[in-house]
Amino acid sequence: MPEAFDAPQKDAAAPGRPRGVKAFFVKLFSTDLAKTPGRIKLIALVFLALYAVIAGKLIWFGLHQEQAQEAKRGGGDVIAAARPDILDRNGEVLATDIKVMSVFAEPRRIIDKDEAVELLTAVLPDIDANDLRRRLGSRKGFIWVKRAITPKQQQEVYRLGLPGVGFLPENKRVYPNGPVAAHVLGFANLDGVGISGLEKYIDGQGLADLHGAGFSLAPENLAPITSSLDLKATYAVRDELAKGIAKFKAKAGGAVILDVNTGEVVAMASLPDYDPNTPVDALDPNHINRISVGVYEMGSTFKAISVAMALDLGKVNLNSRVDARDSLRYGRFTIHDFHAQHRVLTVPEVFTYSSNIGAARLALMVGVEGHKAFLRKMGQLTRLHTELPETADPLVPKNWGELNTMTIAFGQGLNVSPLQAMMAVGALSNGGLLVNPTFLKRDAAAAQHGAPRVVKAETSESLRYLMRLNAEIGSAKKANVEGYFIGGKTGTADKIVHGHYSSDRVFTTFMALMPADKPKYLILTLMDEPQGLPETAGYRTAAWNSGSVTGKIIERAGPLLGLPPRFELPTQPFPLLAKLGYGMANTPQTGGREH
Amino acid sequence: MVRFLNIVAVLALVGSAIYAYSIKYETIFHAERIVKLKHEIKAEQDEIATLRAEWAHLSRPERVQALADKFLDLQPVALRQIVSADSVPEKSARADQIGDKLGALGLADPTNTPSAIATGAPATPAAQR
Repeated sequence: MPEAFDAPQKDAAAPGRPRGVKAFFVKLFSTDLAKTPGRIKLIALVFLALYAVIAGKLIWFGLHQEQAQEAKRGGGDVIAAARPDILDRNGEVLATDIKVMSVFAEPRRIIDKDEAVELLTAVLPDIDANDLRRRLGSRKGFIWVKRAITPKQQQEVYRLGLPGVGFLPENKRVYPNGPVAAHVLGFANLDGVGISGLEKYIDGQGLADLHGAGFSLAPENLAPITSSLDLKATYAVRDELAKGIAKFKAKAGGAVILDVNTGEVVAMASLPDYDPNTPVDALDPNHINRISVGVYEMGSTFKAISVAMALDLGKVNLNSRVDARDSLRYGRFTIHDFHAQHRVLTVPEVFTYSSNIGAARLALMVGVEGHKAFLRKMGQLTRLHTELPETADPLVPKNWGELNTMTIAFGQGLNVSPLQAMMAVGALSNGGLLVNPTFLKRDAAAAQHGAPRVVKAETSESLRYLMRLNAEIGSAKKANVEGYFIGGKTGTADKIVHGHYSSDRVFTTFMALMPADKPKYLILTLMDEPQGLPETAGYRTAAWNSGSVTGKIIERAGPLLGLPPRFELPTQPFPLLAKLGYGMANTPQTGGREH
Repeated sequence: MVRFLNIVAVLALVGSAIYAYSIKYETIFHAERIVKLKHEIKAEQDEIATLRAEWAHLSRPERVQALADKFLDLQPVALRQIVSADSVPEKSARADQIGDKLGALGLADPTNTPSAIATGAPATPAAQR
């Protein structure tokens, strides 16, 4: 067909150039009915070809568009998710997100991989060249070159002008206070996933699900989480604890301030700790949270529970006497007193002299089953659940006999986490309600709603009186800070080394209640293997180390927590006891032993 | 007449086209401005978040304590230094004889600030003459 109408054109152009051109145009635009069908067909063909090209191109775009988008979408999946801020109870920032730039590469679009590796490692010296070369060699659509770079580094990488290398803004989690409150906050990894502590708790509350469902959340859309911690008090507690650990050369330590009415943990420190901004340190097993993960024999602080149990079940009253003349024999075991009095003790004396024999006899009056039931009611035999995912089961003896009851009565043979023990002592002091500890801010009404009553109000007041008495004349004198009407109980447990109780390695605890008449805060300090010092006359018992640290914490944190000191003693601190005929409870005591 | 109507119609067409295009470009302009402002707001918000983190970092108790130990000649507050508002004594009656005399002369009344009565800048005597 083309030859059919090509031929006449050639013929027309043949004779003479200028005339030929004119003739050609004349011929082209003249209506030659003989040639019209052919020309129409030609035009149709040309247009058909054009439309075919356009359609083909469209199909090609349709097929390849997805690949072009892939890198960006891949990036959207991997960039660190936004997380809500964590604030302390006064609104100070404990954890927040900041925007940082991260460098990514699309290996498929990089032309010269070796050059790219060379230039990138020159600008970002801390990335491993071999690793980067290997990852660039992969067939992936998207890889991270380096997360969270500085603006200066970003400028330098930008200047390299490498194709296939770009930047994505990311959220980076920062903890402005460093190691303060590290164990409560936990940390989030580079991808914005909570790994431990409150960060993990937040993910468990549905944040991870939202991210998983593809919602890209901006930090300003997320309501901040208000924790129960007070930043300044937490710092003060950590600082005093660190000083105490350095002074007494202890291996480790922990301190907590718990609001007994609301169950809020107002301050908490566990040393040694880590900086959540460098989370690798958190994996060190020595950096565990000793307050909620560690389980320990709490020693004599458990006597508070034993005495309260005997009082609450009506086995004894505050005037009852307990025989502590001789060591208590059971089979081949003998229970001694550390401060042996060799006489019949009253119940308050059992507490203030911290008599093992007395506590064991009180527990025996209740019996094995009653003891078990009471401890179960106090939450000492089951795992304590708080917002922190890191918890541990208490170590409960498998075959619980009379001997176990006797030893557990004075704090040996049952390992519980310190926070768990605090929950129990908190319940014994706040009027008898077992309030579950929390790391989130809440008010007393919400906390006590549904909190089970575990002891009578009278028992709670008796225990407060005993703790106050112990601070006046007993082993808790070191922490009796004037102005706060402190009550306290020491606990010194010998550590088990190779299956035997060691006589020179101790685990000391101290619990203080402030103020003892209207309980607000329960303060716990614990130290692992503190040493005796010349100024403590070589003693390594709790009163000297944990007790004195607790005193310092009270002095420093009390005003920070807004608790006004009172220097005139309350006239009627224990009204219920006075009604029951224990008028002596309201008269202050002086004197007593030195340790 | 028809010609006139045609001209009017053409003019109206041209006018409406210009109007439509101007509206369209204005819309594009505003849409671009919105996007730009949104970006600016985002950048500001990011900056605020960064500054908040920085402020929290710089005002963390650890650093403040180190700085206070270094530069301030103060000692930690003792519990005895804290008193309640009730125990602050009442303001005592004035026992100032000279002050009372001045008050009787009317000198203790609050004085007006000069600018409240002055009418214009104070002129020097030389300028008045």
